[in-house]
This record gives sequence, C-alpha cells and structure tokens, in this order.
Amino acid sequence: MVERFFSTRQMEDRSHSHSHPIMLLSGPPSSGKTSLLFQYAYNSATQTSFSHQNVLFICNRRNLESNPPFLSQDVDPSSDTFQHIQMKYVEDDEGIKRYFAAFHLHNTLPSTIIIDDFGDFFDERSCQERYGNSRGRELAMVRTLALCHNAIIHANETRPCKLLLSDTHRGDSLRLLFIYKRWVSTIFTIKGDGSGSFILKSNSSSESKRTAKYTIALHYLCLEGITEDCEQ
Amino acid sequence: MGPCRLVADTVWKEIESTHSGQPSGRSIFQVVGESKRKEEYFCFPEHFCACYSFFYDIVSKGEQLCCKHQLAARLAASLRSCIEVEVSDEELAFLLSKL
Repeated sequence: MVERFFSTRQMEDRSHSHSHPIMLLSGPPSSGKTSLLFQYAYNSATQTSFSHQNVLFICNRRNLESNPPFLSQDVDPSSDTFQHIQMKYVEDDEGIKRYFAAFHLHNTLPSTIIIDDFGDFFDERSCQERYGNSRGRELAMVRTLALCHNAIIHANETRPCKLLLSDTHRGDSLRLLFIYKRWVSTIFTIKGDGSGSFILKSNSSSESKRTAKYTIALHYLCLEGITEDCEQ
Repeated sequence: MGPCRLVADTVWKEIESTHSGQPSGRSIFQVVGESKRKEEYFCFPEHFCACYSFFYDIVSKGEQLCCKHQLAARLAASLRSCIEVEVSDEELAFLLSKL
C-alpha cells in the first residue's frame, strides 16, 4: 500500500475501506508528508473503478502556502485530475469536528478525505480551557477521532470512504500513538535514512510488507525504490 | 456490587436512548450515569464514551476494554431495551458537533 503515495503503477486497491477506513501517516518534520499526501490524493482521484472519485484535502491554509508540497516529476500540475481534489481550509479542531458532525448531511461524499498535520489543529491552551483539564488536548483528540470514525464508518455503509491523517513525530515515534491506535487501523511511518532520503513503511500485517525509499531533496517527490521487507 | 449486577442495573433502571438522524440513520447513544448527578454521556458503543473513565482507564491506561456506559449501551441495543429518539439529520449534526 505504500505505492499509493507515489507516482508509480498503481495496483488495484484491495484494502477494505469498510473495515479499515482510517489511516495515519506519521513522520518527522520536513519529511515530505504533505507531498506524499498530495500524491495520494492525486492517485485516489484518478482511480477509475467508480465514476466519481472525489478527494477532500483538509489543511491549514497558512501552513500549506508557506510549505507547499512537491509533486512527482511526471505529475502535470495542470492535469484535470486536480479538479477532483477539493481543498478545505480549517483553522482548528472545532472546524474538523463541525465537518464530520455534519458528514451525513452531504448529498455526495468524497471517496477519500485527507487531513494534513492533524495534531496541529489541537491547540494545547484552548483545549485545556475548553475541558478544564491539563490533558485537554488529548481529550479533544479522542473526541474528534471518535467522531471521524463514526462518520466514516457510517459513510462506508453506502460506498467506500477512507480517511488519511498525517501527524508529525519528534524522536522515534508519535507521543500520542496510544490515542490514534484506538481508531486508526493502518499506520505508515517515515524515517530518515541518514543520507537525505526517507523510508516509508506500513504497519499493516494483512499484506506483504513493502517499504518505499524516496527523497524530496530536488524539490520533487522522487521515489527511489520499493523493496519487499522480508523481516517478519 | 459486582460488575454484572452493575451493568444489569444500568440497563434496566437508567434511561438510555439512542438519537438517530432521519433519514441518514446515523446515530449516537446517550447513557445516563448512575451517580446522583445523573450525568448524560454520549457514546458510540463500539469505540467511544464521553465519560472520564473512558479517557483515563480505557484510552490512557488501557486497563479495560470499555467503560460501563459502553457496555450498557451495547446490551441495551441488542436487547432492544433502549428508547430510540428520532431527530432530523440537522439536529443530529448539531448534537454531534457538541461532542
């Protein structure tokens, strides 16, 4: 499934949306997460097994404009595919909650929803004030993830619908992984390889593990190779 | 009071209701706690409850699989012993946004 993040031959997506609809991409700062998400959005929008493959990309506008993503070299920025990717700019976690609270009101739903830098939407101070609790930020994330999960599972009753989140980890892993794991079935993790490239791995045990090596050093998202991970 | 008795009491004596939006069918449970304050907790039975026990014992410490409100809601749902409150999809969206 790591192939979904790159401009490479896409295999039929056999992942079961209805049972594993929420995924997380976790990586250190400046590791190309937004670029990977954009490529994932592009690949999802071009899938032709259903007539409409609309993608919703939720992010903070300022962050996106100050750190725009890098496309793969063979992706044409003027491609019609981008017509099927809708941008939604939100300021905070309340904006995300409002969207998923009203999810069932939409006549047409996107097939894929992407939220870039999910954790960044939860401001420590305002969450603490809202819940009157020093762990307010964690409380807020729990509630929002549960709401997202409920929305996505409900949507999957009628048609496939996936949610892909990204978050930044400092050090080896995401501090709040214990929260994400409650609602996220597949976690993709990025690690630097020490020489300017990154390795992307999935934690999924349901398929053969492939890892992808890529770089964004040349201001393009450049896949260097995909290898089978033989370790069990 | 043992856990089974606690759950049985919660199911039969307290008011549980499920708010389901029409026509979407999306729903959320509302479970009344057993303390004197009768707090109401919103709950997605399989994976979430708004009570503090869910956050501290289940998510944070991982000590239990689910809280008593989730258990009560699941039992009430399978026994069809809860009150189903139909609301419009717009009202449900408003309720959910306050989670």
